[in-house]
Amino acid sequence: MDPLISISLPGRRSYRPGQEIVWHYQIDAVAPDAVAAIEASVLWYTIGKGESDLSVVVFERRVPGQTEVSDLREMRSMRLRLPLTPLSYDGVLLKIRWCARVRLFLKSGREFLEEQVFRLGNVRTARAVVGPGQDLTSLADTA
Amino acid sequence: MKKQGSRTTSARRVGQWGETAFFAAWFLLGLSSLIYLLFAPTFFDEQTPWQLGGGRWLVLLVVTSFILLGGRGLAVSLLQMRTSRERRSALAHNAAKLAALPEHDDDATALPGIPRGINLTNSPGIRLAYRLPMSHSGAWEMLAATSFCLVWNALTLFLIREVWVGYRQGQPTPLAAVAILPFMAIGVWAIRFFILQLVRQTRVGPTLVEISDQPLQTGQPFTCYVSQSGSVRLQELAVHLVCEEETTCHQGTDIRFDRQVVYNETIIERRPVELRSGQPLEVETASRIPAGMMHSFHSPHNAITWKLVVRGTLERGGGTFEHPFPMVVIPETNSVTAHGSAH
Repeated sequence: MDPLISISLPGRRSYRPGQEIVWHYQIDAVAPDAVAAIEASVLWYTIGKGESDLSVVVFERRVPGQTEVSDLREMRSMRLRLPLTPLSYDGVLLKIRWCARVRLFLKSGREFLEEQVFRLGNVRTARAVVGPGQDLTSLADTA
Repeated sequence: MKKQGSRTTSARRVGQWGETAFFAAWFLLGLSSLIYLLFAPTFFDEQTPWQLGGGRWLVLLVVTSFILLGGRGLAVSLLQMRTSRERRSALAHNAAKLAALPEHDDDATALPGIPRGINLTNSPGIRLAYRLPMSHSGAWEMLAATSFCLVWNALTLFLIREVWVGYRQGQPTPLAAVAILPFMAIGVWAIRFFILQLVRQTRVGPTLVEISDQPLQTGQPFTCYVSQSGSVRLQELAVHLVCEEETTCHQGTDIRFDRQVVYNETIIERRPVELRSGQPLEVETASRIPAGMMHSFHSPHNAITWKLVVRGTLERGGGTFEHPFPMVVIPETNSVTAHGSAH
């Protein structure tokens, strides 16, 4: 059975820029001595037609023997103040997603990942429009 | 919410190993070739294939490039295999923070992902606070039109001369004469396009755009001043407030750019416009960045840009010109500084 990774974000997973949040994560269904490392991060990434860009605002890597707790599977809380930008965005060619992500590395060499997406800000969904000097066929190309 | 973690070890690992093996092979090929190149004269007699004079330096250059490119690729792929994408991003972020000068650090981290637009605020306007720089002036289009026109028509004239010489010598080549016709048609089109570009460049004068605030906030009103000089009659002159998405992706050895306009509002429209030398058209208007829209954004492969686009249509089929002036738009709230901590 694969390990269980639980991520808990407060509220309805929609936050204001600059808001302070506390989020939690926990690992289950894996032996404590099987864990090689756990990486927890809050980041934004782009998806869409272009290559994906990613930027981490909080990153924490925990390795057995190098932390204050012996069992890394226990629930861990992280507090952070969200940045002001970039805001979550649903565009035509690109989307900007914010997420809390946990990556689990096992000593066997296997790697597991879980993430919870949330919204930062309240930007409205974009839609394709005709640009200066363009005609309607340019919109058909996008669709 | 408790979920089973998605495993990321199979296909991705195979790809990473394949990439590493490719670069390792490339690096080893270069290294072994270099060793052979340098030490072959020691092990073999005078008839070794490396006694090639000047060509030896070319081989040395190629072999060295194998070592450098293969070695770099090997180092990068090994680093990527051992490190997650988030960890690499965090390391790069910390390195950038350490490298940044203290006075620059605050500006760069307060609104991450938004271009700082230093060049947009360092030029004061005459009517309004800031004069916007044009993102491209059309000089490259002129250069491209001139080069294409000259090269294509030189080639066409050469072909015409060859056919004419054959005809004069009593060896006409009717098939070649027919084949030249499409060349001549394209040559005429290139001359017409060149003349249109020339007319546009010489008769349409400089465009100046000034705005009252920079950076602008979403929902914020602003004043815009446009001055268009020249000596031409325009069917229409319009200024558009535009928001555009831009993406870049690699497809094999190609780099593909895509653009999509997601907001376009005509804030100035005049028709027809008679531009006379020394009497530019000057228009000042009030507008607003719509509330709820996305702010300017810039990352290595993706961008969202706001700009004012001045677009003119010349009369009698004279074509159009388009001058974009980029702006920086930030979100409405900007009072808190971001930071993170764990407990």
